[in-house]
Amino acid sequence: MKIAVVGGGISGLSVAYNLAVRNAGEIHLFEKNWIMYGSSTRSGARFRVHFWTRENSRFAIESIKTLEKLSSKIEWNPIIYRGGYLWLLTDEQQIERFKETNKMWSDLGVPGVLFEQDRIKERYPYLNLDDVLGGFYGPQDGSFHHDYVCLGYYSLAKDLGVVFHELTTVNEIVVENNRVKQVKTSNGLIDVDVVVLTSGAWTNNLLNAIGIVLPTEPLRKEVCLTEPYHHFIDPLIIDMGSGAYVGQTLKGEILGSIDYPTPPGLIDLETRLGFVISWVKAVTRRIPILRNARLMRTWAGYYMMSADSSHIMGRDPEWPEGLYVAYGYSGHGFMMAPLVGELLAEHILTGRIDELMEPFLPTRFKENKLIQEKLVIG
Amino acid sequence: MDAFFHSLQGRRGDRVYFSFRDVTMEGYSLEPISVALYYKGLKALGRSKKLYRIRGFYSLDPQDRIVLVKVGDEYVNPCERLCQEGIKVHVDYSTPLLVRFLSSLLNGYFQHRKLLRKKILWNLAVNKIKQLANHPKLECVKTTIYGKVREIESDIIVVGGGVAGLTAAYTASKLGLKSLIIDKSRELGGRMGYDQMNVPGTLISRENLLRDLLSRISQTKNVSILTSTVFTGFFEDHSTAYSEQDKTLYILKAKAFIIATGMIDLPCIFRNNDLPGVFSGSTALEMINWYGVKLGERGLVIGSSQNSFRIAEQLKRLGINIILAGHLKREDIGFDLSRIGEYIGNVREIEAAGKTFVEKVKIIHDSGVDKLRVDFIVCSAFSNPDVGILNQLNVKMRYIDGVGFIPVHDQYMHVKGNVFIAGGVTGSPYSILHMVEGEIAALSAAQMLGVKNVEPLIEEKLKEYQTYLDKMNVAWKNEIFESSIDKSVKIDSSIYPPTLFIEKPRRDAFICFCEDITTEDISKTVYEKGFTMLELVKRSLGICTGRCQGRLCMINAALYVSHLSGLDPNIIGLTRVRAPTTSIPLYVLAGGQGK
Ligand SMILES: Cc1cc2nc3c(=O)[nH]c(=O)nc-3n(C[C@H](O)[C@H](O)[C@H](O)COP(=O)(O)OP(=O)(O)OC[C@H]3O[C@@H](n4cnc5c(N)ncnc54)[C@H](O)[C@@H]3O)c2cc1C
Repeated sequence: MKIAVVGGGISGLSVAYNLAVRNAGEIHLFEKNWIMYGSSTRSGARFRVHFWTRENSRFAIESIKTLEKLSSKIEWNPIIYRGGYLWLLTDEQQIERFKETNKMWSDLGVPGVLFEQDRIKERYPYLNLDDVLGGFYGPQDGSFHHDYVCLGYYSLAKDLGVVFHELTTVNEIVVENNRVKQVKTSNGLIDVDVVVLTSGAWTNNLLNAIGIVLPTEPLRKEVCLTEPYHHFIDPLIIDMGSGAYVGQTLKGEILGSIDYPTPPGLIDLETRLGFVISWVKAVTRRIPILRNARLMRTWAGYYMMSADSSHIMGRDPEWPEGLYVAYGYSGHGFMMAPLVGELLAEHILTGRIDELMEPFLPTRFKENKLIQEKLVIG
Repeated sequence: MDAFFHSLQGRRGDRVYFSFRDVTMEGYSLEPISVALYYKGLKALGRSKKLYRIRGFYSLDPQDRIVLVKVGDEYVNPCERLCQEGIKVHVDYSTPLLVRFLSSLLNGYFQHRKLLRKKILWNLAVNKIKQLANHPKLECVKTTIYGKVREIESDIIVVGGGVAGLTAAYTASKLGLKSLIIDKSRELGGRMGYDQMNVPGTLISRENLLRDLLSRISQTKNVSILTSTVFTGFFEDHSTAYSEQDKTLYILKAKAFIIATGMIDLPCIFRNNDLPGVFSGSTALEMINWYGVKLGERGLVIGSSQNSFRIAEQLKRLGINIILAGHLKREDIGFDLSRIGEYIGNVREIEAAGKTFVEKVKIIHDSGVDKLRVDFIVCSAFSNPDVGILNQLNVKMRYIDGVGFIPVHDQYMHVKGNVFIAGGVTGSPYSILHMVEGEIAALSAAQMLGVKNVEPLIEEKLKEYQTYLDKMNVAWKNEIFESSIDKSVKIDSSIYPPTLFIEKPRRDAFICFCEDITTEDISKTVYEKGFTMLELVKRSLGICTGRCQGRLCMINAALYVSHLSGLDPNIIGLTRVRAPTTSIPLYVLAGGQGK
């Protein structure tokens, strides 16, 4: 079998590796820039198992396990660190919601802890909790290093014979007799049996051209990073009041972002001073000693938002034979991609739809089986 | 304005007393802390982040935030913060025990999995490792300082107040346009302000040229000036500048920009090139000619360019013994060596040594080995245009052999949108060209802004410019002009980096000083992992991600990877610089207008 994987982010790398490890045949990965050019190295590099929906929580739990298993195989240290997530809650409704959902999380074996205000102060003395009523702490959540995870998959895939075509754009998928036949690239045409679209925010360009429309749209998200400081912030802190999040990387930089009005679409990956100031105001209020930190740089990436803020994987039987997607991760894709790659590879080779994967099929939109996920951060 | 011509004494300000590690020190109120300490023989300012190597300062540029010291509770750049009566300066020279024992294993301890492959081991180690890096502590600092945010409007903003920027601002002012010159130095003049040699390519003396320009500018009402202020880049919504001295963030509004940021003397790559006492060429000149600090008794100047020669000569005049060493053969350098002393040519490897600062060097060259005692080293083998801001703007860069990475521009000095360039940043080697470029950039900007009747002036200047380019044999400029239209890049022509002075990758020859990345790290990435694009080298090593944002390492890294891989530097490419191009304290940003 000859397979084209389009896009060299974590999604494409994971799919390519998982296909290769299952001896799927001749695998070509096309990347229009260099591997990991897209959102995969522009992310906050965090993982969590706490989602509003059972579907996403279960998927994430298994995906993190997959990532951890992988990490003993690779030459790169993925720098997995369970620093936890801390949601700071500013109204009773939020507290109720977390309390309620914690039953489901306990059920899944990943219970979080609800903290009263004084308990938070005790554990995280650097926080200003003026308007905070309580907090939810997820000890199972944490961080990794997106560069090294991508590089890990890349090295393994390369060793297994995946052919990487960098600086090569796929411009068109050629369909004949309701089968994918070829991909037209900036370096020529190649015949294929299977095409997997893992092109992140750019995926719709290729899908729409063959008449497939899924309810997804790119949303630019900006990030702030400070100079490095001695480590003192363990969890990722999500300030539900302001919509800001902030954490510290193991290299010492303070990283964060805030929900800031942005028109949807593939707009330039630039950053705004207005965004920066908005984030700075929110976090220096929450963590006053951050006033003395210095903003070192900013960057932007895309959240590829789907209508139900959950990823889309697999195929619709009505699509041309051989066409698969793995995208629409809605801002939490890096952590899901390890399992997406595994289950999708299995699906492509055997047709089996894993029970964990089933809710995420592209058919859910027309069947009106949306996943009610609203716990999107940033 | 006249400050420029004040005596050296005036430039240093008043005498002040401060304490350094509890010992009273003497300094001057307009002198950076690092310079005052160096004058007293205190060259080591701290330890590096990862390997805990002793570090001093390579340059006095406020953007090169390599080493920070503690003043009171605050961590500051000692090359930027001036001496002040009564301040307490602290430096921590200690190294954690773990680092001392494990330092040989620490190379790349974050990314590579040699030691800590086992999940259990990693989980145990990670809590230690996260505390191990030598970073400033935020915890104990007071939170009562406030900054200011100011909006400034001008027709044209000129970044860089050297000859090119000054000429541009003056030209624009004559056309009735308001311009604002932003310069990170305390005084205008750029390189010419501290290089005491005459200007090559002109008959006028440097002093006259600069004095003339400055006095003409001081007579027009249309030019305003912000010194000690760093232009921090173009955000999508606003461009910004920041003054550490005034704790002020400037939000800039302008109809056009002229970037005239000059060149950077790149660090030379040799063994122990991170020792205190290794300086950039321009910093060496600044130290002697601005601050009156004699760098030492015996110095090594690395390089065989005209620039190296000029620096050597100025050091020699102060009675310092100078050895010049470079790649070129002795016969090939066109200078009168008797004016500077010794030249060692065909150098293959340089090794500096010393306990806490440079004390000696070993120079391996084609005809043997020289061992010398020196107390400082000056890197002047190669200067690249300071393209940071243009890189941040995503302007296309091209590598031109012998010149460096140049922003692609047309003969109107236009690079992108409403942005123009002039001077050293365009790659031009001579001041006379810089002045004409300043004029052309200003005229082109004026035309874009709708000023009438500038076309004939532009045509005239372009002719003049072309004549100079021909006369001075700067043929590559035309290549750059053409590549703005379309140009495919030549492949398979690796280069020998002009800054490279090691025979093989060495773990004590550094490329990146912020993140402690060595030539050995880079060679492993290139040979073992097979990465050759700088973007991927960055991903695998963290090069260009430190406090200086790649200012000092990016070009060297690209050239070194080109050398190792045999690929054209244009294929290796650079990485993107992100706004702000120099860091800004959050308390200053917090003073701004959010949503
Ligand atoms: C600011 C921010 C913070 C985030 N934080 C987190 C987080 O903390 N945790 C988490 O799990 N996730 C996070 N995410 C989300 C995560 O980054 C993404 O979900 C994930 O990286 C998506 O990976 P991908 O491979 O689908 O897409 P990408 O990484 O974007 O890769 C797509 C690739 O396809 C290439 N491509 C596109 N079109 C073509 C074509 N036609 N031909 C060839 N190549 C093509 C692109 O160049 C690109 O490299 C964050 C995202 C952002 C923007």
